[in-house]
Amino acid sequence: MDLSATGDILLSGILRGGLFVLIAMGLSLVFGVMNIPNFAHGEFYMLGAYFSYYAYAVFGLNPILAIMAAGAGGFVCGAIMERTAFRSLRVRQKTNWVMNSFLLTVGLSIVLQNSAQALVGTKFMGISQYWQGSVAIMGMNVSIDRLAGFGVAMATVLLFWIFLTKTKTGNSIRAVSEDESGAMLVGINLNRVYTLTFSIACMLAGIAGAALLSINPAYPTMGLAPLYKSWFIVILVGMGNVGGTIIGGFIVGMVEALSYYNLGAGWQDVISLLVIIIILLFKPSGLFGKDVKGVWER
Amino acid sequence: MLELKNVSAGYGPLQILWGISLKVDTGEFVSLVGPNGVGKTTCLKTIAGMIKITEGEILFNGIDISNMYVPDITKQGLSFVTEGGCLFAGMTVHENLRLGAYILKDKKQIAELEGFVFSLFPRLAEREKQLAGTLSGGERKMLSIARGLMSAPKILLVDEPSLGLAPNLVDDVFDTLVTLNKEQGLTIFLVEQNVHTTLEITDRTYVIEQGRICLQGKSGDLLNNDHVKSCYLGLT
Ligand SMILES: Nc1ncnc2c1ncn2[C@@H]1O[C@H](COP(=O)(O)OP(=O)(O)OP(=O)(O)O)[C@@H](O)[C@H]1O
Ligand SMILES: [Mg+2]
Repeated sequence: MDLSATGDILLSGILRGGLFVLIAMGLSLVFGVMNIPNFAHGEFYMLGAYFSYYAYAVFGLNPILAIMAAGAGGFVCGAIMERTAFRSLRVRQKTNWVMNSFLLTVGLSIVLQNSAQALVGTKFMGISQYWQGSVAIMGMNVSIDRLAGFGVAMATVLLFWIFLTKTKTGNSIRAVSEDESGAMLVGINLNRVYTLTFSIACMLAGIAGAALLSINPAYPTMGLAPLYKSWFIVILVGMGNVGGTIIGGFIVGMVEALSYYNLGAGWQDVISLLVIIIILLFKPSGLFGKDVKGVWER
Repeated sequence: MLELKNVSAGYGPLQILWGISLKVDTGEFVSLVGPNGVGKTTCLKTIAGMIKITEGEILFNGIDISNMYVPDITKQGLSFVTEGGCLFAGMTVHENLRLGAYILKDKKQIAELEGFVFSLFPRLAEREKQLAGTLSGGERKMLSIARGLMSAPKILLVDEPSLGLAPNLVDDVFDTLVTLNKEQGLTIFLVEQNVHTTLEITDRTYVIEQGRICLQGKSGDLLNNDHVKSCYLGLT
């Protein structure tokens, strides 16, 4: 492997990884705070792609505004889902929450996919690019579009992280994920935190879908691939560990770039799954998880 | 300040509390003692709103708080320090304390309260940046009491603060509670196993057996009560 190839892999791994982080974070947050294994997460990515397509290509908004509109759209859709579907489930069902909420998300995923198909059809709705041109980095031509997508992802992750760790509302979300009784006892209204958490997770997915629009055009079932990828990452770092997804996203991005370069397209999922299986053999609770013992430690 | 009138409660079909009536007046230091598994923790949880009551009512400063949502009861000025602490293990001591003041808006007041609890528990000040989950058992107890004080409560409910602590730390915790009551005028409702010390430091005491209050009175008088002597103090 020569130097330029290494740079190539590194760069494309980082660019991929950044967006994986953005998608996986919301999934991890929803699991950590609400205990919902969300299999409809990809559908919010899909919604984000459609929102930004309409905002940018149809209404002619500027790219940043279009991406922000997609985030806002994701937030609102997330809030509606949480208030209607998950809150009703929470009122009715106290036992078997994880299983029931999982089934609910699968149902939601199907409903959202088919609604998209019914409303806008199955044709690809994409754009060639938000921004024109390319720059040379380490001897490689990278389109400004990809860099900007990465920049948007990193800025969002950073802002979200600051929100989570430095603001009172962000801390209340972390408190609920740490100890629900403790959170209630200090005066935190759980329902409000749940709605906010779910909305933010959907907003992050929506922004990711929008930022990647020039690479992945919008279509109804586009959420499946990012859903699986996010699950890889969340399982890899440990369920519900939001901070860990930052590292996990880049690891998976890097593994994919490596397998893409060395084995060709189509192998990236095989290799990243293999890596994850091997890691889980030794650390079944994920890289940063606790509590579960590895096969060799029993 | 706090009054339970004929309160019954339990877990689903399993009734634990049978018509509990008790009263804590402003500025008082009152305790609830009794054998294991009779419903002391259940009683505190019921007051804090974590368990639905099936009968009777709970008044707090004249407001009916029966079956109110837990955070709303906290906002009324009631703070419940649970036995396990319900701490936010993955967050720092400082973050735990700030969250304790979640219902307060005034930044200056919050900073003052934090200064106050640090003066009460200097060990916590040294460990401000440490994660709550990595604290020792004694430090965790201190943090849970400190967090309970951060909301500037009118009444503090404390569940077995001495459990699992070394004898000298037990004395420290009791001293702190006495200081809070005598010097700060904080109303305290304490649940304890350590009956002898409890009777010595509190004003009044209720004895609960099988989910019913069976004895009550001035703590000093109960120290000489025959039933208390034989069942709780190991004297004959
Ligand atoms: N979540 C629960 N579900 C069902 N039963 C419970 C639950 N929690 C407690 N109990 C039962 O309620 C009874 C009273 O429990 P509680 O914790 O109030 O006792 P306690 O007086 O605090 O005892 P200890 O001194 O051991 O702390 C016990 O028999 C206990 O088994
Ligand atoms: Mg108890």
